[in-house]
Parts: sequence; C-alpha cells; structure tokens
Amino acid sequence: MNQQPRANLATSVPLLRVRGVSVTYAAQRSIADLLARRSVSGIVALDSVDLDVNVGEIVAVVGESGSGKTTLARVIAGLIDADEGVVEVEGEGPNDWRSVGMVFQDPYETLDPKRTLGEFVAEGLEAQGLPMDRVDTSLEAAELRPASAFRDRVPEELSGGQRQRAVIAGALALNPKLVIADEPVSMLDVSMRAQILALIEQLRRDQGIAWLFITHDLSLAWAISDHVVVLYLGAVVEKGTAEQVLRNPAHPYTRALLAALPSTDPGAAGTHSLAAGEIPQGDTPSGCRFRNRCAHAIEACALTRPPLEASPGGGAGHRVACIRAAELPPLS
Amino acid sequence: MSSNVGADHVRELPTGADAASPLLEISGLRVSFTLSDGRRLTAVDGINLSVAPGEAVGLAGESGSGKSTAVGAIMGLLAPNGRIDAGSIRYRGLDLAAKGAPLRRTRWREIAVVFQGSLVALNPVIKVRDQVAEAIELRLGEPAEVAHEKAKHLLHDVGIPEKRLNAYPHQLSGGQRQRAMLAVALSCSPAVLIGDEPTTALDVIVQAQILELLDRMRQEYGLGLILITHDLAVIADMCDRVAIMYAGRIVESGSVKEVFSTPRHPYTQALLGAAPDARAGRRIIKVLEGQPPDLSALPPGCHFAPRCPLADARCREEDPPTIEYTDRVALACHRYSLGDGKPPTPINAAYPTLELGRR
Repeated sequence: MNQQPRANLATSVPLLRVRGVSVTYAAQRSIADLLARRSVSGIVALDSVDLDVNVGEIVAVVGESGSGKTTLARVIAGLIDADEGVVEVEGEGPNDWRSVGMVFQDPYETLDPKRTLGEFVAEGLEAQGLPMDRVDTSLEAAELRPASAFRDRVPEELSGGQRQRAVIAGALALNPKLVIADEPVSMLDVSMRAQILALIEQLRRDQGIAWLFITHDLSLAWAISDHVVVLYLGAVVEKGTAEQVLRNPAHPYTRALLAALPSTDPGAAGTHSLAAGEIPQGDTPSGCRFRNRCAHAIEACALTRPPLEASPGGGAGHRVACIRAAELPPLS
Repeated sequence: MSSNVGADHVRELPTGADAASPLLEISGLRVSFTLSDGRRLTAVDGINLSVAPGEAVGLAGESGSGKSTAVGAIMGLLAPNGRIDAGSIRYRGLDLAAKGAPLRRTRWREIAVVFQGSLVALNPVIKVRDQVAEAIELRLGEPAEVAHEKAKHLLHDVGIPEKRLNAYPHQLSGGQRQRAMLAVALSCSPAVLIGDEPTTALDVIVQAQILELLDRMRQEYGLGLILITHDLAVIADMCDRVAIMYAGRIVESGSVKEVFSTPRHPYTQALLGAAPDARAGRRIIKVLEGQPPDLSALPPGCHFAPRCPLADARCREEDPPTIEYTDRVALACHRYSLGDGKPPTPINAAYPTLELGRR
C-alpha cells in the first residue's frame, strides 16, 4: 500500500502545561473511626502529575478505572481544584481561559434533553459574548450538516454518534485551542467510533485544535495520539510518543495492558493477563504502586516511589517509573 | 481443581428432549416487538445459529443489530411487547420457541446467561454466597446445607477468595462481581452458557482474566458457549465460529479463522477495519459512514445497502439469500453470489480510510 508521508500537524509550541498536580479526596470516616477519634488519611487521586500538550497535538492519557484519569481531566478543565501544582493554558490559569473545550463520555452530561441543539450552542456563545452566526458553522464543523436539519432538534431525536457531535459542536463554537475529551467514544458502536475519530483528526488538521484524549482503550490511543501518558493509581508510570509507549512499552503495567488486549489480527497470540488482581481500591501500596500486581516486583520495589526517568534503551522523551525497567525481558 | 458440579453430573433432560439431538439449534428465528403506536418492529429476522458441547460461538453486531433480542428469545425473557413470529430454538430437540415450551425448566438449568451489568443482576442486600446457594436451592430443590456447600465450591472455582464469600455485592470489585455472576449462572450446571457482553464494563486486564475463566469453564464443564459482543477481538480470542449480525439478520457466518482472515461481506470488512488495534500495530482504520437503519422502517432489499460502497440496484430491491460457500462460511450478499453457476469473485469494499497525522 502507498504510504503517504504523514502531515506534521503537531507543533512544538507549548499550549497546556501541567506541573506537579496532586489531588487528595477526603476519605469518609466511619462511625468507629469517629468514636475512636481516629483520623483517616485521604485517598490520593493524583500524585504530582506533569503533562504537556503542544499546539495541534493529540495526547492520550490512558488508564483503567481508578487510575485518576477523569480527575485529571476535571482538574485541567478547571472543574476541580488541585491541592497542589499548576495548570496553565498559554501561560494563563484556569480563570482566564476561553480556549478550552470539554467533551464527556455521556453526551447528556452536557446536553439538556429539553433544549434544541441550536439553543445549546447559542447558550455557550452568549456566555462568552460571541456572535450567534457561529451556531451553524459549529454544527457543520462537527459534521451535523446541513445545520438547518439539526438546529431545531432535541438530543432524543439524534443517534448516539450525533449527540456526541452536538457536544463537540458546543465546544467548537467557543473557538477552542484545546479540547479535553474524557472517553468521548466509549459509549458508541465501533462504526460510530471511527466517525468521531475521523472528526477529531479533521478538526486538528483544519483548525489546529489540540486534544487531550482520555481513554481506557489502548487501541484508540494508538490510533489517534502523538503522545501517550499512562496513569496508574494517580501517578504517571510511563510517557512518550505513541510508538515508544505502545510499540516498545517499558513499564510492566503498560506491558500488561497491551498483553491483555484482544486482537482480530490472525498473527496476534491470545490475550494474557500478565498482572494479577485489580486496581486496589483502598490504600495505595508503598514504594511502586503497581508492585503487588507485578510479576517482576522485588523487595526494593516496596521501599521507594520509583521516579519517572529516561527509559533504558528508549528514545528521547520516553520516560518510565520502574526501577527494574533495564532488566525486563524483551516483550514477545 | 473442578468442583462437584459439571463433568460427572448425569444430565436429566426435560421431557421432550433427547440426548442424541444437537445441543442448541436455532433456525429461522424471527422476533418482533409491537411499538406504542401499533407498528411492529422486527428485531431478529430469520437467524440460524447453533452450538455444540465444548464449542464457543460468537454473535457479533452493533447496538440494534438484534443480538440481545436473540438472547431474550432463547431464555424466554422477551419484553411483554415482544413475540416469536417464526422459527425454532431447539435444545436437544425440544423446541423452546413453541407455545407451552417448558421454559421454567430449561432456563438456568439447561441454558444460563451472564449479562453485562453485574451490579444490577446481583441482589445488593444478600451476601454473594447466599445468592449462589439460593439459586441452587430454588432451581434444583437442594437442601440448604448442600446448596451452601456447592456455592462455596463454585465461588472458589470462579476465583472469589475465601474471605470474600460473605461479602455483599457492593463490597466486591467489578471483576469479582462478574465472577460471582458466573457462579450464579453455573450454579445449576447448565449445558449452554450465554455471555451477553459479559466483559464490556470491565477494564482490559480484568477482561482478560474473566475471558480466561470463561474459557476454562467451557473446557472443564464441556459447556456450549455463546458469546455476544460488539467487540470482534474478544470473539477472535475466544470462539471457534462467528456470526455477524446487521439490522436483525446474520450477514456472514463461519469459522473465526476463515471469516476474520478473509471477510467476505462488506459489513464484516467494515467492522473489522473500523477498530484500530494496538496489539497488531494497525492504525489505519476504515470509516463506515451513516447510521444503522431504523428497524421499524427498513428499506427493501439488503439492509446494509444504504451504507454499502458496493450496492447496486438489485441490492436495494431484493433481499440477498444466505448462501453457504467454503468452510461453512454462509453469506448474504448479492455482490458475492453471482447466482449463475460461476465461482464467486472476491470483492473488497472500498471504504474511505483514515490515517491519522502523526509526527
């Protein structure tokens, strides 16, 4: 097949900068705790997360439920305050942004079932003092065309894919430079997914929009992103380009995620559960967070939190938080 | 270690069934629903599907394809406005689609199902061990003591740790709840197990663990497994045969090896191409435009024709017949079946492809 050279769409101009973001949720004290006057340590949802998105870039944040990826999305969108750390878009804090849009997994988190798509998009424009002629252009930019056929419809009259397009139209109306999309296609059928991925790519190409794409699905991350950040129990355990992280994974957790992925490829062997158990729901383990599920853990893994360091043998920018990364066997 | 349920258990078949007949054979099944405005909607339109002991068959399709309605019909759990219009569902020769079929006798004891949402399927105020035991008591009429002992074995077998036996469903993780559901489904030693999107709500590592468990149970108990999912990769991993549904019909079926390596129907080609695959390194995806049709206003001819890049006038007018080709591959596509005695010409639907622009 003819491989066309890839367009160089992502730039090296910084857009989103996240540094040292930590969030701790207060744990509920049980009656026994209250009677014993025991204090309860909070649940760490995010622990010192660093993340960058450049202009026109698509960065995927991957992780299972409980990894903190939704908390991260909400902190970056300014919906939750971080306890520590900095989130900046073009050097500005959350109160000064106009250029960040948000797309959630469930379109009904954003859409009002009683309001037409036209009213929904107009509402955002009005709040930002933008001209109303953007309603139709936004609907059409989200491939709801002709806009006249969709403007007066309510969400119930749309398919799941169209509802998600409507949410994207609402985000586009505000002229965003960055859209944070939290599992934007996980409720959609596979053919609808491909359509929304195509739309995301098209908006990046035509309007230079950068996307922070949050997903549990490694294959989606592989398809859509320039860079991948892997979260486990609130911390970044691996990051790099999509090729580095997903073709040459260095962290045992990333490797386990990939090995567990079923494939329709006749050459791919069956899935393997390389990791034991599930993400712990209570206390975070000492040392490496992943160690109690990891096949490669040694005593030293329990002692200190492994820092995010250059991946042994990985390319520039490939970073991994595993003290055993250099000793891991090659991935079959 | 296998528990006392299963392999050595001598099955007492319901009246009218005989051990010499095929395990489960669905033929020409048609199911429709009456809508509130009086119209009828055909959700399943003449499907054929069978499963043998120890075999795993995948039924794939997107939402609205009719795959879950088919489960409802097999289990006798259709919504009140639904009915079986035609066809048969034969369990060891006994037609479960016939009026007066002993569904209470076959449901759970012969054919069991594991659904996607395990939090709603388990009773939140009853401990998991008691729920499994209750199922055994109620459905098999075992004394409480025996039922509790069996429940303990089963829960051990599906990987629930001993110390969690007396937990309530909300105290279990998502994976553990799905294991408990599997224990409930296996509690009456069914011969057929249907998984209706059994791992869809789970994370990928837990999904792999549950799929491994399902596969082990299939082998240990010689279960006929029907796996219903939108995820073709799960079917590739687990099943011997596959049937692809679109708008109530099976458009292509055959061995997983044959169908996945040489997809013939344009819809199968689209589905297989639409999902990126990080394992295989496939990033270029095919984009299938449009929406599945409204089942209450289906177009004449092939249901897929409005979205098919190969459709011609005949496809829009005549229903394509299902024709069996090589290696038990059956296919409903005018463009593949030439119908004039000539060997079929391989076709390859030209979908727009998407290659994402990466640095």
